[in-house]
Amino acid sequence: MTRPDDLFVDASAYHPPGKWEARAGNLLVLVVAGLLLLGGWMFKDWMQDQFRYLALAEGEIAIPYPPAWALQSDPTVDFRVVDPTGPGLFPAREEVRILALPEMPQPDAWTLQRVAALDDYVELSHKTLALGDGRPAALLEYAYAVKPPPDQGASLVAVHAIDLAFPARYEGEEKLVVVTLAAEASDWDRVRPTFQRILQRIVGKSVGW
Amino acid sequence: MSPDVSIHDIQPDDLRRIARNRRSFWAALALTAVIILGAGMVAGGGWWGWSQALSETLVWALHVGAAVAPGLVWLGFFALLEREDEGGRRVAFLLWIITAALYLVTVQPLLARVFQLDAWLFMGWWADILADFLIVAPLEMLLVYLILRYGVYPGETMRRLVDGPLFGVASALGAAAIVSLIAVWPNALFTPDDVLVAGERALGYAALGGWLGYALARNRFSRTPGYYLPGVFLLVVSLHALFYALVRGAHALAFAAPLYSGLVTAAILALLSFALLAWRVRKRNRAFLNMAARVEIAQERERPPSLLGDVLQMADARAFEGARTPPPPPPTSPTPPREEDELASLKRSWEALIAEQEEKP
Repeated sequence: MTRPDDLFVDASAYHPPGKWEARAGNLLVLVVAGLLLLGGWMFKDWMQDQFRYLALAEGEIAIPYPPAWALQSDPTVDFRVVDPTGPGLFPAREEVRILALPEMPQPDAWTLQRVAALDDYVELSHKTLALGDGRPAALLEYAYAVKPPPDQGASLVAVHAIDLAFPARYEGEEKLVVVTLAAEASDWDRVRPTFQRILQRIVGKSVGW
Repeated sequence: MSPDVSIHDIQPDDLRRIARNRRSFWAALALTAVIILGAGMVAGGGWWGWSQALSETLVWALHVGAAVAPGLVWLGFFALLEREDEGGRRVAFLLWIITAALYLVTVQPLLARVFQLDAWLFMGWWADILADFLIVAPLEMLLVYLILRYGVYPGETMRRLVDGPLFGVASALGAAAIVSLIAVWPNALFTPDDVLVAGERALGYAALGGWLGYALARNRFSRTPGYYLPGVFLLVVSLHALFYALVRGAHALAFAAPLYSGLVTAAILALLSFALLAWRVRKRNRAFLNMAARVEIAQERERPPSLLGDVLQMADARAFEGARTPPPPPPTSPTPPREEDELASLKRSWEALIAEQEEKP
C-alpha cells in the first residue's frame, strides 16, 4: 500500500529560494539589525545623559558629573572626578573649585589666576553669559602644558580645558564656583560631547564653543 | 512558497550531496573545546607559575598568541581531519582571516568611536546586557552574517548543509580573535586571565557563528518561511547577550569560585550549543535523504508514458537477447520473404506493444 507521504511530496520545501525571496530574507535581517542598532543608539544617548550631581547648597545649582568617572582626591581642588578610560598621562577630568568672591569682575579675576597657575597658558576664547536664573557667568577656553611625573618618561602633555565660573551660595556664603573640564588635546574630541552635556545642564541651555 | 515547483525540479543526487555530513568538523570542534577548557584550567590553576619578568615584546607576542590560538587550533584540527575537501579547508581559513580583518576596520571603530562604549558601558550589569543586546551583538553578528551571505551563500562553495555551521564557526572565530586581542591588549602583563578571556570569547563566538551559518545553509538549500532568517538572527543576538551575561555572572562569583569558572560556564554552554546544532543538522540531513528517496519514487511514478521510449527499450532488450542466443542456421533456400508476411509480423508486433502498454499500471 502506498503511504500518503509518498503521494504528497512537498517539493517546494526542498527547493532553494528564488532570487527575490533570498533578497527579501536578507533585507529583513538588515532591518532587524538596523532596528536593534537604532535602539542601541537611543540607549547610548540616554546613558550618556545620566549624571550624578554635586550639590552646593539647598536650592542652589547642582553640578553634574559622569557617574562612571572615578573620584580622585587632590588638595588643590575641592572636587575632582577623572575618566578611568582616558589616556594614562592626563585622563579627562572635571574639577570644582569653591573660592572667595574676587573684588574685580569675575572673568578677569579668574583669567589672571589661571595665567599665574598654569604653564604655557594660551587663551582660546573668553566670554560672559547668563545662567538659567539670570546669574552672570564666565566661560573661558584655554590650553596649557602639563609636565607628567618623571617616572612616566613622557614629554609635556598639551591640555585643552574649559572653565565655567559663576557666583553661588555655599555653606551660607556667596562664593565663586569654578567648574573646570579638561582633557588631553588629543583626547578632546572624544570627551567634548560629555563636556557639552555638563555645561548645558549647568547653564540651562546649549553653550556654543 | 511558489506553487510552480514540482518534484521534477529536484534532483535526488543533489539532496544526497547536501545531506553529507562532515565528521571532521564536529570532531575538530569538540577537540578544540576540550583543549581550550584544559588550557584555561591549567592557566587558571596557576600550574605554570607565571613569570612576571617578561619583556614587552614577549608579552605582546603572548597576547597575540592567546587571542589567535583558539581559531588556529580549530583550523589545524579541521585541516588534519578533513583530508578530502581541500577547498573547504581553504575557505574556512580565508573566512577566519577576512572576518578578523573586517572586524578590526569596521566593527571596532563603530563600537569605540561611534557608540563610545568605553565611556558609559561599565555603569552596571544591566547596562552591559542591554548594550550587548542592542549594540555589540547586532554589529558583530551582522558582520559574520554579511560575510557568510555574500562570501559563501551565493556560489557553489556551500555544498552541504553542514558547510553552514563550518563556515559560520570559521568566521565567528575570526571575530573572536580580534575581540580577545582588544580585551587583553591593554594589559601590561600576561596573566592567566588573558588565556581565560580568549577561551571564553572563542567558545561563545563559535557557538553563535555555528547557528548563524546553519540558518543560512538551511535557507540556501530549502525554502524557509520569510521570518526564518531574521528570527534566527534575533535569536543569535539574544543568545550573545545571554551567553556573556552568564559568563560575567560566573566571573562575579570569582571570590567564591575558581578563577576559571567563567571559562567552564562558557565551555558548558558552547558544548550544549554544539550538541544541539549537531542534532539539528543530523535531523535535517535525514529529512533531505528521506526526501531524496521519496522524490525518486514520485518521479518514477509520475513519469509520463513514452511509446518511443518503450519501443527503444524493447529494441534494446531484443538486441540483448539476440546477442545471447546463437544465430539461426542459414536458410536452405534463399527465397526472399513475402511482403504479406512482413506486414503481418509488423502488425502483430504493434498489437503486442499496445497490449503491453495497456497492462502497465
